Amino acid sequence: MNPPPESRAWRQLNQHAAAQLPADFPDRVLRRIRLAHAERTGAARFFLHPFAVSAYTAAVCFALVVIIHSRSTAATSERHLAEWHEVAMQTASLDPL
Amino acid sequence: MDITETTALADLVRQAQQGREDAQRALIVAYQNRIAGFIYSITGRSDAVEDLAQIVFIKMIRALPRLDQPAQFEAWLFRMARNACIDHIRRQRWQKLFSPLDQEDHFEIPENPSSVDNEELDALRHALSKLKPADRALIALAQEGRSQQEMADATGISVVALKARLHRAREQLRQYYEPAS
Repeated sequence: MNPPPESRAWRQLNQHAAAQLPADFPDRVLRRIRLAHAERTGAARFFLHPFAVSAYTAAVCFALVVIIHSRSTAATSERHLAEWHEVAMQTASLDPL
Repeated sequence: MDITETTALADLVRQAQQGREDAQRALIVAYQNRIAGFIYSITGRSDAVEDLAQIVFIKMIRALPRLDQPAQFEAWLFRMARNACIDHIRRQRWQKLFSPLDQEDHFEIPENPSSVDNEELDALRHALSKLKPADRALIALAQEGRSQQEMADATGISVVALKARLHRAREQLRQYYEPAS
């Protein structure tokens, strides 16, 4: 069976593509992996540092306090408004005019 | 050591899985040219070859511990490379959609034929550029000697559907392949 007409072109394509890689390509790949690993380890170390853990625990607590406070304030305001509305209705019914 | 021998390759893969850098380097050296050719045949861009090849090998080394069957390494690697190329092409399309009209997107500029400087190769590049990326990936997988079952697994279609698609893609490639000489 004859090879397909483009078989030589495929060989040339592979050669051209291979020529795009630098001579130290494997080293570059392994260097990037080592660098990424070091960055991940550094980031993990930073986020697991006791001060960092204290800081984001404090931030979460503060956020919770703010949320609970704003919700309870809103509920109290609504209750007061409803009571005032009732007082206003009763006052209006007592008005002789 | 002849890396094409299945057992030798499986041993090398096992060593690389254990984190041995010399084995990881040996795998990269053994496959870098084939992966480069594979990427170039799908993307059609010389300037994408090195970046994508780096992405593929970084993914390979990170995912190696999860490879259950070292004997399946080659099929697994080319499936990973195929997915990386298709993702890259999709990303380029999205970037093109969201980039301002006056901003020139260099990925849309066809590669200068003089940078390739070969009529047969240029004709093949032209013919490949006429195919859909998924069909180019199929042709590239077939060119790499992947079995029909492996290609079907990589593309998520049945073997019957794969045969039909591959046949159609090859016909299209031959139709557009016209070297000047």
